[in-house]
Amino acid sequence: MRRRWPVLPLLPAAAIVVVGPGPAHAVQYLTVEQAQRLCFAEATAFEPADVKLTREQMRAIEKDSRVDVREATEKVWRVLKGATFQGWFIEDEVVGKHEFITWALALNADGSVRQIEILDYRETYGHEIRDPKWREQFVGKTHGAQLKLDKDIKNISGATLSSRHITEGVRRLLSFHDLVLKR
Amino acid sequence: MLGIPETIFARALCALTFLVASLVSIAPVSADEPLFGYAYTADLLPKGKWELEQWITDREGQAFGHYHNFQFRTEVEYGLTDNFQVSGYINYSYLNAKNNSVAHLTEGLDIPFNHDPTKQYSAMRFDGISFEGIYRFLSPYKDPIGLAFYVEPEVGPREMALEFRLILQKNFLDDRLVVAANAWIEFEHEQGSNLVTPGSGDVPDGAIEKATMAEIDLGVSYRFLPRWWGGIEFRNHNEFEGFSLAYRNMEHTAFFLGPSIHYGSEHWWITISALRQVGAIGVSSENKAQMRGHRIFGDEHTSWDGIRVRVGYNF
Repeated sequence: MRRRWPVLPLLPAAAIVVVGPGPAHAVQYLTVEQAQRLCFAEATAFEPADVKLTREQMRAIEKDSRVDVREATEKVWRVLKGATFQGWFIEDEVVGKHEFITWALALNADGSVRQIEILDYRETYGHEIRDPKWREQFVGKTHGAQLKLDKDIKNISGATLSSRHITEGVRRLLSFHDLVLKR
Repeated sequence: MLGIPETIFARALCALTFLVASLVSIAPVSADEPLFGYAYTADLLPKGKWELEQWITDREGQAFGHYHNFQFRTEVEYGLTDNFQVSGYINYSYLNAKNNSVAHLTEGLDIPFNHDPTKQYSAMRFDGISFEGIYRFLSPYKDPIGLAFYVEPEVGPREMALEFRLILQKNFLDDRLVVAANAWIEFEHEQGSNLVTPGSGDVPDGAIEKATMAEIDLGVSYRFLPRWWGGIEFRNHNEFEGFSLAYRNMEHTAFFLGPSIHYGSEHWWITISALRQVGAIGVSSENKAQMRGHRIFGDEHTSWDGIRVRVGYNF
């Protein structure tokens, strides 16, 4: 028995699938080294100081920040100007709509937020999280700050998930600093 | 015949293909993405963004023989505000069947009554146009639960319908696990059944009947890899005679279960789900007559109801 299949009606979908992948929009804005220089222009050394969190430390950070800790290892650098401690540089990832967003948090010596930088962003919408005005909202925040979308941090239209996860990432890393790094 | 000439369809679809290919090749892309084939989430397009989407649903298999009812929707969506999305659809279908019914005849869902029931039936058809508006009251990313309300009027040569849908979404595990629940109700003015006793000389009177459909859709999906989501969907579909949800007017209830998979990139996305009819209860005598085993067919459902592919492009 010969069956006829609807080839023609499938053409619009086929057009999307075949042509759709198109040119890639994944963007690496900054390397780690470039981000370090942007955050600490005066620094003379970035000393690797990665931290392997214990299960207890992960639980403590989650309890304090109310954010899940996915990775046990934090990529950390001690920042020095000559012999003077300037602060910390932390490379981190948070969940984006499709992929992970790679970003970095720079902390002053007193633990306050000095700067955040977006290293990789692979989403369609929400590239505004690189906007200096949006990132400036975090400057000066310290452990214990509310850091909540639509409260002390403005949302980005069309990228609520990304902006919330970056905001929660800052809260999580401030807890990490308070409970682990500064001790 | 209710179908329209295939040459017109061919020209229209070639034009549509050209349009899709043109848009896809010039635009940057991606956003509000369905993780499920049937259940909606409260994820909407941002303000000022467009999406082009193609739906293909194969409602496959009835009691015997073979049966493929390919239903197509070509959709354009637009975000009027961050919380209000509108869209328009063109609905069309292609049906190929032979000896599909419980009586081993070519008859039933979308097959004209005067088609020779011993022969194969094959036709394309324009089903209608529909519009959709979704308003989101609560965001799943900012509020404890996502909540949206949806309305969809549909107009076609065989039916007019108005659907209302309540959409709930709850995210877990850093938004990598999504649970969606929908409750919807649709009021229809539809052409009466084509099912007649072959050789009886009966002719459907063509009367327009009122019907009400009510359904619960549930879906759970987990992002198991960057860009990839896998999950499971469940539907409970209920039909009633007239504009009523009273049990005395109930015609049948049917249950569907199956997996769904979604891939989303910056540029485009695709969602595939395959829902199998796992059980049904015929309540009216007409619907009981269309049961085979624990499933219902006739004018109502298919074994795979359905295998759905949705492909979208945001710009």
